[in-house]
Amino acid sequence: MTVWDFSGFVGAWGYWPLKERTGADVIALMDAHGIARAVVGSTRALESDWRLGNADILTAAAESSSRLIPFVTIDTTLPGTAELVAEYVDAGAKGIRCYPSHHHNTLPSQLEPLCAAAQDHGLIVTLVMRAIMDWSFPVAAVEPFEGLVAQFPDVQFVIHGLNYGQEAWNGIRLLNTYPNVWLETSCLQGLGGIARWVAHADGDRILLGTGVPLQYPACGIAKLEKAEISAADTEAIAHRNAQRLLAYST
Amino acid sequence: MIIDAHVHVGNSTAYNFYASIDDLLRLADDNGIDKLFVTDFTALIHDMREGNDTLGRSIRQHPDRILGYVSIPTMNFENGALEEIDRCVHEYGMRGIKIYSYPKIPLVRPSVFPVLERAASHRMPILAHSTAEECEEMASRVPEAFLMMAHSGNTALARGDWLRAVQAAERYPSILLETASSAVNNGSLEYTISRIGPDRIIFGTDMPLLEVSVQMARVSGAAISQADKDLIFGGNMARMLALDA
Repeated sequence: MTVWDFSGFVGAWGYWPLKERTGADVIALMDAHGIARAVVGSTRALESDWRLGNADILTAAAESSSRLIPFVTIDTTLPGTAELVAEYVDAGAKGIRCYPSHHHNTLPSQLEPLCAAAQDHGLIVTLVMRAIMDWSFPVAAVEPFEGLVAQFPDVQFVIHGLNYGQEAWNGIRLLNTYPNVWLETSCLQGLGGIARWVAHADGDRILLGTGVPLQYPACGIAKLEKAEISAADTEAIAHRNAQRLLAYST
Repeated sequence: MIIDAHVHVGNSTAYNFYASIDDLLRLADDNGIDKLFVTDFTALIHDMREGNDTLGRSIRQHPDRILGYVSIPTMNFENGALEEIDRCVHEYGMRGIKIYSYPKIPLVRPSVFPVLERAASHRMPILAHSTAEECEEMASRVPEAFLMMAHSGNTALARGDWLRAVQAAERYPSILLETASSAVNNGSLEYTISRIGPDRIIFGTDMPLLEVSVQMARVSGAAISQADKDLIFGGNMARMLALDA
């Protein structure tokens, strides 16, 4: 099974001791678990300084462009941030990760300029409801962002970090309503979760995520390998959907 | 031998799960799990005696596959818990005790200590859905009881603080850490072993709530030795219960 991971990270980590810090470290872990390519964001951008973090991630991806696909992080608190999108595109960014709960951008209106810039430049926007499945992490609700995905139909939105229960159903409803919505699987931990998503949603817009290296990549891969879905759906979720989605990106 | 130390049987409309013993055994077979250490959901949140009896009948049907916890919710600590433990040991041969906050009130209260003492007298491990701080208090008061901290701090109740769970196990040798968790933080098992060794880590899946393959992969995919994996997957529990490996 060819695996593309839509929820990777690169950088130091402040929450617990973590061995893998650099792009090379992450690629070694990807190799150990058979992950061909990973969409990556910066942990520095998540935790402390998104501008420095974006420089980190663009450098790491440029050094390993066949393996790492860079998504930049933008906290819209500072004025004029959307204008940076063009610079990031020139530097190789393929998408934007927004962390509404971590960065207090939970009002959709805070993200409108960014989405407009993403639309202009053909970038994917990832809305991170939960960075990883950790009970100490903040969680954002998906429902408030419905207006945003409706307002920007030409932007492809990835909803990152949904787990089981009502939050998953809210994400599936969004996916079934809007053809520009995709879901990734890194935090989906309920029994038979992927099969349930495929039963109720379009399997062509579900993306494998493991959360490498913050989460054990074996866990994210196992849940897909064991999912009671068709071989075609497995392959689509493992990598074909990601390939198709990334083709939207400039 | 793989022993899953954290399994629920029964129905929960709140969690949308409906699992019979046969459903659980199918899941176990699909994932190569030999024995299931089971708690009955009805006993935890509705009717302690009814649920424990239901599980007891399943143990009689599958004595080689099913191990049973006597499930004791907080409400029952001072309402028949000790008699229920004795009854379930004698009638069904249950091997452990599950204590659980239902209703959602503090698990640690004066009436929990006699429950722990009774468990210790029967040499029954206790699966405690609790925080690190609660486990420390229980371990300090009843050090002869074996306390398995369910989820190792990876719950909303315990704030996801698995590092604090490891600290608790470092401080108290009677605290063991059970692995079932939505959180699959890379390096967590490696770190835990570096602090307390592999002998007090117990494998669990929390089936049928959590995806079993994820819980298996959390151990099998960790960068630890095969010997340590064998201990976690079942060796430690087999030793504690004096089961044939």
